[in-house]
Amino acid sequence: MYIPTAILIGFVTGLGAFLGSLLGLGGGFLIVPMLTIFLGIPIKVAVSLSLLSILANSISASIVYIDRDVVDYRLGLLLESTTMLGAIAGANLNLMASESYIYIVFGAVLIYVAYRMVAGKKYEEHGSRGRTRRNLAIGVGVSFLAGLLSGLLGIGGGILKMPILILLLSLPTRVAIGTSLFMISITSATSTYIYFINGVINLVYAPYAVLGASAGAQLGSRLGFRIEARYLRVMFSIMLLIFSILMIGRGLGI
Amino acid sequence: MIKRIYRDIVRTLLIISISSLALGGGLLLLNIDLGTEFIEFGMWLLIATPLAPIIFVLGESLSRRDPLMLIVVLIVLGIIIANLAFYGFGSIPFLTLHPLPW
Repeated sequence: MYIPTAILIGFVTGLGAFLGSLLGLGGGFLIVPMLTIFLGIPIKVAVSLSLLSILANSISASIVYIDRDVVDYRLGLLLESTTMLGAIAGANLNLMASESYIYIVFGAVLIYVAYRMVAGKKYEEHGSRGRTRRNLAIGVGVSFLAGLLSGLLGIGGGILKMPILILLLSLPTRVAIGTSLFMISITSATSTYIYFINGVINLVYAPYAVLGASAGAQLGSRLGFRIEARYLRVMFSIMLLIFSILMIGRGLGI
Repeated sequence: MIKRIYRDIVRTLLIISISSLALGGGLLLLNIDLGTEFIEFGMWLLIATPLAPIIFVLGESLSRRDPLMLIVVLIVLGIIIANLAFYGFGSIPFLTLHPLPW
């Protein structure tokens, strides 16, 4: 009974990672709702599988940026110090909280992401900002929130990290992506460890989730440039809104 | 040179962990319980892989005598160790082979 479900999980995580990578998003925003809504996987298990998938994908993707020497390790680790604390808090919060609250919080975050996808402007580098103490302090603080959401909801956190790196700290986009991926790998490893050690990750599902997401992300990154981004964003935004309604409804017991 | 070694280490760890997960999944498909061991090994390796860049940066900060960077790296390593300690070092497979005094 487990194996067919495990294979379906591989397909769903692959689809989520594929769709997410078309827009340079981590798959978490899609993987968790798809696992819970389409396959009825308990949300805490779905979150843990999503983090596992993100871990594998972020390590794989970051290798390319490491090779090209476009990772700001100093800044990344500075921000990661609080991101990790947030991830630890988020994962433990997930373990303690009831599923209803997690569904509602996830649904609310999906609404924000859906809005950002259609209303958010393309990141522009602001030369007037930079690594002032104030900006670094803000960055460190927001990084804690990014880690908290990552550990709690099974997302990568890039949706918060990228604006910090580009808009606030004036990193060039390519360096911001590399640094963000470097950070996401550490954050997701931190949370995945907590879920793993607490027995939340289903070991039968784990290989399929990782393999499916890896294959999906690879395919998505190769095909992404061939598809008009603007239409994708609108389509995804609508999909995320539908997911958010379903997730919040589930949390409210509707 | 060092960067290339470190990149290769990360890539190798990733390949071994995913291969172990895949092998474990395959064995479980054949109803062979050993598959669980391979999956657990793959999981541990995957979780440990991001340590490689942190250790690389630690080495860089020592060789460049960058005290600020060194402090940041030590803080990050401290958080990792504290997280492991919270759940007990005995949870780490290779450490359980040699029981610690406490």
